[in-house]
Amino acid sequence: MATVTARNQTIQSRQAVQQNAIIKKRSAIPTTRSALGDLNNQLPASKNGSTLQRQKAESNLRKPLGTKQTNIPQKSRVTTRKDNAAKPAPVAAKKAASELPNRSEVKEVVQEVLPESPVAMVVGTPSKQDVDQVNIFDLALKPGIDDIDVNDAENPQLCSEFVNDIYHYMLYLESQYPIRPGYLKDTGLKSRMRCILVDWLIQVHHRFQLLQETLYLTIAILDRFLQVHPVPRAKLQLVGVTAMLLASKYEEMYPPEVCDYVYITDKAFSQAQILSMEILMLKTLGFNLGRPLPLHFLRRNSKAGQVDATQHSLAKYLMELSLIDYDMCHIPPSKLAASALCLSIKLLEDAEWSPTLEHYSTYTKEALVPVVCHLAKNLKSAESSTYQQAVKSKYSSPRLMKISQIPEVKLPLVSELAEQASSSKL
Amino acid sequence: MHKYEKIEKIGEGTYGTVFKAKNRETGEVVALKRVQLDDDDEGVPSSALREICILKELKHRNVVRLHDVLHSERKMTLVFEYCEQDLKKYFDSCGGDIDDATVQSFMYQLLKGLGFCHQQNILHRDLKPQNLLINKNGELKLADFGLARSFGIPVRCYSAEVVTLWYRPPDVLFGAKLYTTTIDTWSAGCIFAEISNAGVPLFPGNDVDDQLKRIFKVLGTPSERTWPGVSKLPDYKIFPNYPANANWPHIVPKLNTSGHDLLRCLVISNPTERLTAEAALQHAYFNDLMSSKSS
Repeated sequence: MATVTARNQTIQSRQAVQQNAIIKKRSAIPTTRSALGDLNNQLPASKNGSTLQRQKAESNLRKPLGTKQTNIPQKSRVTTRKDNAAKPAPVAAKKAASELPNRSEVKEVVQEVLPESPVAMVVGTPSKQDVDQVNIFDLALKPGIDDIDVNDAENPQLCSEFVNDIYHYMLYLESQYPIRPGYLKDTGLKSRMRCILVDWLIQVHHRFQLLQETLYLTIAILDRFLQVHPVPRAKLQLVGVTAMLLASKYEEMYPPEVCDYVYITDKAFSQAQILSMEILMLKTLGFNLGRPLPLHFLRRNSKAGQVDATQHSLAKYLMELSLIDYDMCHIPPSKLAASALCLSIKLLEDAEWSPTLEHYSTYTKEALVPVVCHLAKNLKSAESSTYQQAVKSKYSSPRLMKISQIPEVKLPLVSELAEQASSSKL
Repeated sequence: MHKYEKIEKIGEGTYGTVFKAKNRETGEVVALKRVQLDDDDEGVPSSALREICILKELKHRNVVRLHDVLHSERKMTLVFEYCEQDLKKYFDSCGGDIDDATVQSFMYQLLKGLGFCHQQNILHRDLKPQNLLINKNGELKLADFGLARSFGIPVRCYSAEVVTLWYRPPDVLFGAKLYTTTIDTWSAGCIFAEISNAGVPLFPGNDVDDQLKRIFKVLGTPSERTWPGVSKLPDYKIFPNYPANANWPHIVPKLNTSGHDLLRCLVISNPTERLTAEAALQHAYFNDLMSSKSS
């Protein structure tokens, strides 16, 4: 306990130092107004209580993803606390001070169907004409389709006034940042390497207790970068951690520090290497990190389908399993989200894709079928494949409603659909 | 960096020094914001990262334009369109009087730029006179997106430590972490009054308590009746029960009646009743604005 307290003090003083630094920067703004001197936009240093207790004993993730290790993803090595005084601890502590008060509760999932949300990294501004031309989203409601925003005028969090504009815009944006099917071809990299890397990133993400958005954004950055800028195999892990560094800087209130990433790769890469990769990746992506994420679309779809927390969680589990699946990396986020929900409601309620869901998601059931089959294939293989164990075990926690353990994931329907996956082209 | 010739230092932004410079080839004058990158540091600051990502394609005449991002060994340079001054400096130079047409025009442009950001999922979160740039043609542009971020729907919990105190809405002052686009329209309301009074801030509080007190003395102390849920906010505390008796003609004497009404609708304590930028643009106060401006 003594060590924990000592560590907390270190963390707090470190945060205080950081805050002072920020305050220094901000108060450097020339101003004649004396009152501005005490203004700041920082968190008070004292608020961060001790939260290290929350840090779970997790598998030792530190590792370089060297060539030797390509065979076994290592999360099966359970719970050594060897590293518990080491670097990543501050991350957990910082997280706890962060914006998600409800994260650790079971309730979280239920709430998440609405309130926990997003940060669409949406960037990019098409002109009005562009948007109109795309015309993906017919805003006029047809008969038989519910207006799902009709009761939301009173709730500003739901932005009912422009929710459709924004979704429209997100569909446009996703079309601006496509990922090529089979982009690894001719790069010298193998799909299996991507698979190992993504599996490891999922574990690191979990270990650092980052937001879900950060994970999806990390993988999107990774794929978008690699498809235009292949790297030698030895640099693949560097690209992976740097993608996570960028994603967390964008999404997180308290992103992990660069040294945390150095640590988690077991010093396979230096701080300088990560920082120069950061610049290279930003330049390559033209500083556009603004691809909308499947989560953003799923939340909208879940609202349209008025689904319950279990259905929403199962869809999330399906989406996360797909991250590892290289064959699916090019599926647009909106389509992935719609397919995940489509399969989820089918398995849990035997419910069909309704006209309302079709309207708001912009996808017909027919259009979703191939993706649905691949999702079923992943769900089935998660029962045995090594690479999906990280996601599976994460989703077996009570916080995520033990969704990977519900009996429905083993329904015969899953196998039936999975069998069609090989014949249905994505 | 040979492309630009530095003319003079203009100031310090959230995360870097700003210079006025000239493009050696075209002669175009630009503002350069320089971010130092050190090897032992954290790399690109997240505020710079967000600002770049957000501004990269946020193209609107009332949002400052990011032309380019240059990178060299240990620094990154953001190339912005140049604006002669910011609203704060404009106040200092205007000699205590801003005419009605200018007030109306500035306010319209501010709301136009803001409405555009909100439509593109962007919350600015740090609106204040120093962050509103004005060029020699009288065009007003939102700048400094260092605290801005994109939001999804529903809007998630974000930091409560945003927006400079004087422009921070009561819900955020009470620690609200769920906020939405009306976080910015409150600031816009405060700025509206400040422009009309040629630079006298509406609620220049010294600290959070003083800030809230100043607000409630004008707008009345909120109650569960006027603002359901207020007492559940994380940092809620009880204030003396000031009556709601805002004397707008006294507070902003130069505004006309519809101006008073617009201001009243922007600075409403309860965020759900506060006007959005889009709705504010439709307000009668702008009725006589020449149609050419809205194009």
